[in-house]
Amino acid sequence: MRELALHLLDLVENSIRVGATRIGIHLQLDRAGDWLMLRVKDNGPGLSVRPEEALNPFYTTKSGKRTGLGLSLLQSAAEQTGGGLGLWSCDWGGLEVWAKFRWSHVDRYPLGEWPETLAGMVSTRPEIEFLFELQLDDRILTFQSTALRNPESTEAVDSIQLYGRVLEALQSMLSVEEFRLFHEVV
Amino acid sequence: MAQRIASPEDLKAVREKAQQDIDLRSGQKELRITVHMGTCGIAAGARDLLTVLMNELQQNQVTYVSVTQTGCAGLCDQEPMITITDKNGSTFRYGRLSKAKVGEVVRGHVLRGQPMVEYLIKI
Ligand SMILES: Nc1ncnc2c1ncn2[C@@H]1O[C@H](COP(=O)(O)OP(=O)(O)OP(=O)(O)O)[C@@H](O)[C@H]1O
Ligand SMILES: [Mg+2]
Repeated sequence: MRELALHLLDLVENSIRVGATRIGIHLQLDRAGDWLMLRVKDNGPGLSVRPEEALNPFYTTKSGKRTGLGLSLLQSAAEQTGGGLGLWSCDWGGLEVWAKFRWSHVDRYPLGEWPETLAGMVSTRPEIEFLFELQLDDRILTFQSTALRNPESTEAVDSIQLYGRVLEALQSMLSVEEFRLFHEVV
Repeated sequence: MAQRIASPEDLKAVREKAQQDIDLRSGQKELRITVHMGTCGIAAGARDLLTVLMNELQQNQVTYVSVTQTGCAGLCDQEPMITITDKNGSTFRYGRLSKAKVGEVVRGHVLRGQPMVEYLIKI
């Protein structure tokens, strides 16, 4: 999976499968530190095994299959940039997965098609409450949770698509000023 | 990739597209299309199928279909795949789809009501 948005989709699928109803997504770019961090947390039951075990590609709790590849693929994507991946329990009671990438590393996968990914995710999973946070250096954009309560409303889909545009902007490395301008448009 | 928003007109265009997206999805529908999004499905291109699917439905102004996602169906070698369920509960599983094939499925099965037998998964 050569796109971070696809890994996000995959983490979200993990959370939904274990019964989570709230999923928090945080994407952070620290330009001075030269790293990008993706964090996904949920209010599911959390892990029933140690983190190392969950990262084993032969560990899965899905029935009818023998491999659980999602987390280990993301781990190697992060490690190949000099970053890493971790699992811990979060304040919502479930699991939090974080993956850290060296931003300028040649082997870092592109962010990918976030607008499609976010919009598709939210519109086809109306029962799940999503919370998005996008952080560029010290600036944080939070996706309105009011809109998320009714994900099929015009406002929600609107803001998701706009939010996606913000991510695209981030991807093409707009200046902080432009980023703020963008924020005001949203 | 979608265009950058540079003006209020661009914003308006995005809103209008979003409105069409919503019309596509709300209410009780005659057909339900499920895209399987486990790791295997995503790696095989399921997200792109979903995008093509939504665009096809929109272009053809189809309003009687709802689109949803689910996890792995345990048939990894058939990914990417979709399931179409009609209002009688009959299910049709299409496997090893490409963007072009999913377009054919929409035009054949959804628009003309004729399942695309050659792409159905035979179990
Ligand atoms: N958010 C989560 N909450 C609780 N347990 C989780 C969560 N995410 C993953 N797990 C556990 O870790 C296992 C491994 O996850 P991983 O994504 O690597 O593989 P998988 O989802 O089982 O299969 P695949 O991703 O290949 O479709 C899961 O089967 C599940 O038991
Ligand atoms: Mg998984």
